[in-house]
Amino acid sequence: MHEWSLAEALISKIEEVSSGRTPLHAKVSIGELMEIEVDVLKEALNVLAKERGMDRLTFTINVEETSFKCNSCGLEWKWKEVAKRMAKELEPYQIIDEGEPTTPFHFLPYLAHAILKCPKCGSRDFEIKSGNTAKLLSVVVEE
Amino acid sequence: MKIVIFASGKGGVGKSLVSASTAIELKRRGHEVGLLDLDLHGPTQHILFPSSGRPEATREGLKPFLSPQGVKLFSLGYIFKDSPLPIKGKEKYGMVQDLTWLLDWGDIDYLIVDLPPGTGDEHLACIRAFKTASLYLVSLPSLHSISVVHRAYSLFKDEGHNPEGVILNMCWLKIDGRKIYLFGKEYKKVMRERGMEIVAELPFDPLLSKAPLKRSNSGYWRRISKLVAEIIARANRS
Ligand SMILES: Nc1ncnc2c1ncn2[C@@H]1O[C@H](COP(=O)(O)OP(=O)(O)OP(=O)(O)O)[C@@H](O)[C@H]1O
Ligand SMILES: [Mg+2]
Ligand SMILES: [Zn+2]
Repeated sequence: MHEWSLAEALISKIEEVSSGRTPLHAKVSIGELMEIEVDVLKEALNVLAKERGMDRLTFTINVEETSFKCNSCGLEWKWKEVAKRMAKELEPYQIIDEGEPTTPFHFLPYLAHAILKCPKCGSRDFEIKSGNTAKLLSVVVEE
Repeated sequence: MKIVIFASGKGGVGKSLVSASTAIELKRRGHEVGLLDLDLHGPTQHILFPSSGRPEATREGLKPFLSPQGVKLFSLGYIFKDSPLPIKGKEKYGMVQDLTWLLDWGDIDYLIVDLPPGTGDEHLACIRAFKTASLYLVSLPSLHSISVVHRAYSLFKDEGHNPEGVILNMCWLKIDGRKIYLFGKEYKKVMRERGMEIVAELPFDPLLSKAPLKRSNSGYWRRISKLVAEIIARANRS
């Protein structure tokens, strides 16, 4: 499950930015198109935080809506609007996660640029306006 | 784990081939090796080391492929094949960061990183992620190439990441036992003037286009072996 390796990376990052102080709360944002299971991620974060002695650390996980803007024709669209019809096209790019074929965006959301096109003009030149990768937004440490 | 990065300001000078040859030679010497292709726009390691399998992942992360030589490999080319990847600026940085933590290399002694040409986001993200890496630049022994590579050299240095030196590739071609210097011989003097150390000089080997990864007793592979001995010695010193 990618949620665990993601949690591992986030915990390491929290440790790094806390630089020796006690982290109390961390805010995490996840891009919608990554299709992360928030409950699994939360559990993984809690388990790993305890393992590393960050007993008091709590988390807020926010799933950010993924939206795009075409640089060629200006169209703005949301992942939600195209996700269903993209399922078939994503198949050749799937990654086998513990035996289950999984969207490549689960691991590498920026692969959107290799796979998606503007639904109106077909251009590959678009921006991911929001909800791309997993980010550590803030960490509150004990003063 | 020791990390060895191959970079160059210049394109088409042999970074990917030298990365792959180095990985194979390290493995032959009994080290466990990973090879990470960080060329986002033009990955090539999946062409040098073809595999028809789908990428797999476990709880520990994305699994590299295993080449017949025993080298662990990852290239975006294994996922998106021939599609273009028009990714820009910050997103490139993000993609490189994702790739640096996502992969589950297991127990490896060396991670070889093959960078794209240029001096942009991938390069900066890479040296930030791999702070302790040894960095080697690859250049042709031509004045143009050396001047472009010198720019990359300065950039890395300014970012606090001193390159080990430069690998000069395709220096000469041997015909009937005679060395033909393809770009002249001035390169030694130019490199001295630029203050860049020559770590290795590799010949042009026409056989490499047919069988790029087939080790042999050729001049190219003998010099790769010497280069790898040098890389190991330096990695053990630092
Ligand atoms: N010493 C050599 N003798 C013969 N051919 C070589 C040699 N070195 C590299 N080549 C060939 O030159 C071409 C370019 O090499 P390679 O792809 O490794 O360069 P690169 O620097 O990685 O390019 P890019 O900047 O596009 O990533 C390849 O076809 C490779 O096989
Ligand atoms: Mg290359
Ligand atoms: Zn468009």
